[in-house]
Amino acid sequence: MLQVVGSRAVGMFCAFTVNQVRLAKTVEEIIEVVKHRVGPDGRRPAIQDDEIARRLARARADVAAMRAMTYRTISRSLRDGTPGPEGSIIKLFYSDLMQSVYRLAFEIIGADGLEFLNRWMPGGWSGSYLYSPAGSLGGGTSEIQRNIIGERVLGLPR
Amino acid sequence: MDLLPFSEQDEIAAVVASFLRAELPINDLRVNRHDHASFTPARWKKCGELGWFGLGLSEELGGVGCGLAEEALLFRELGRHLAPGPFVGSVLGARVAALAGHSELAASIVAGLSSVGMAEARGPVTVAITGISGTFDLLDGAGATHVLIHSDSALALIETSALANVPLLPCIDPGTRLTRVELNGVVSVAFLADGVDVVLRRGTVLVAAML
Repeated sequence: MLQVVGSRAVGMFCAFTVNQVRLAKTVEEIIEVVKHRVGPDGRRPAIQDDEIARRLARARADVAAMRAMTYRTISRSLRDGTPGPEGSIIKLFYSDLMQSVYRLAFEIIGADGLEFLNRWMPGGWSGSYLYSPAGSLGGGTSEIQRNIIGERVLGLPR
Repeated sequence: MDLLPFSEQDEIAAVVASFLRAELPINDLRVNRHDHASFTPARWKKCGELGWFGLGLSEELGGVGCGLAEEALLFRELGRHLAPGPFVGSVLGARVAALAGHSELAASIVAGLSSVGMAEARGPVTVAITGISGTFDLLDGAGATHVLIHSDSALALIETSALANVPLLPCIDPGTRLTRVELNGVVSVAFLADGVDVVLRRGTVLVAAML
């Protein structure tokens, strides 16, 4: 039984890792796009807008932090044999990050986002934006992750 | 200083809300999402009869004579109920037609007999009295009789009958129909070059109220 639970958890973790890679790729894509796309002032490239540049830098740093946390968790799982409750921290962090990144992408494309392009299509940021709330539901809602973190990582009373 | 709505203003909002609950239940949005237009002429006329499209327009211009506050309260309710249809375009379109001296067209929009979608420029466009050119995304142009086009310096109404039949693009909002048109010197039926800012700012307020 423990093995089944363990393998499912690992399976879910793999799917989730693929999503992480995808998110990292999206951040880099956005950075490429804003170099050429006219920004909010209607004159300069969007990357020259301080707010957009700041948010993108933050997104890139968050992706790097998430990757580091993931490596740590995978390493620990390898040693202990089972994924620990720390996975919940990454899952919660990922859901929030995914939503803020796709929201930023959607803001950058502005009126171009009116057309629905599903998230598997090139430039399908409107589809990704609409899909992003699912991140905090699927695989255990953010509330469930917070419960796990509270009870099993921080040791707070139930 | 008291900036809260007066009871008459609350009353307007309450009437709007009860009409929307009865006539435009939110569920219809999904049911009708594949229809060619997001609204029907019959329903549009009903909204016109309620005075919605001329609510903030002065009586001299053929409106009800209320202010921006009442109009904002109307749009807040429209937003709350996710009411589908080109409300912003029609309210602004009535104003543009009236200010440009086309009182018949203004009256027709106010009465809900004409409806006005919004155009969003894609790339550089020309909006001149001699003609309008460029590529535009039309929001609820499908099913509307007119479309409102704007640039920084001009507002113009064109007839949708002047446009080729274009296919619907999938829109992220199931309550809005999206089409894309390429215009080559289409001549407007109403053109406004004075006070463009004021009209556009009004639009911004109404959209903000709706959101």
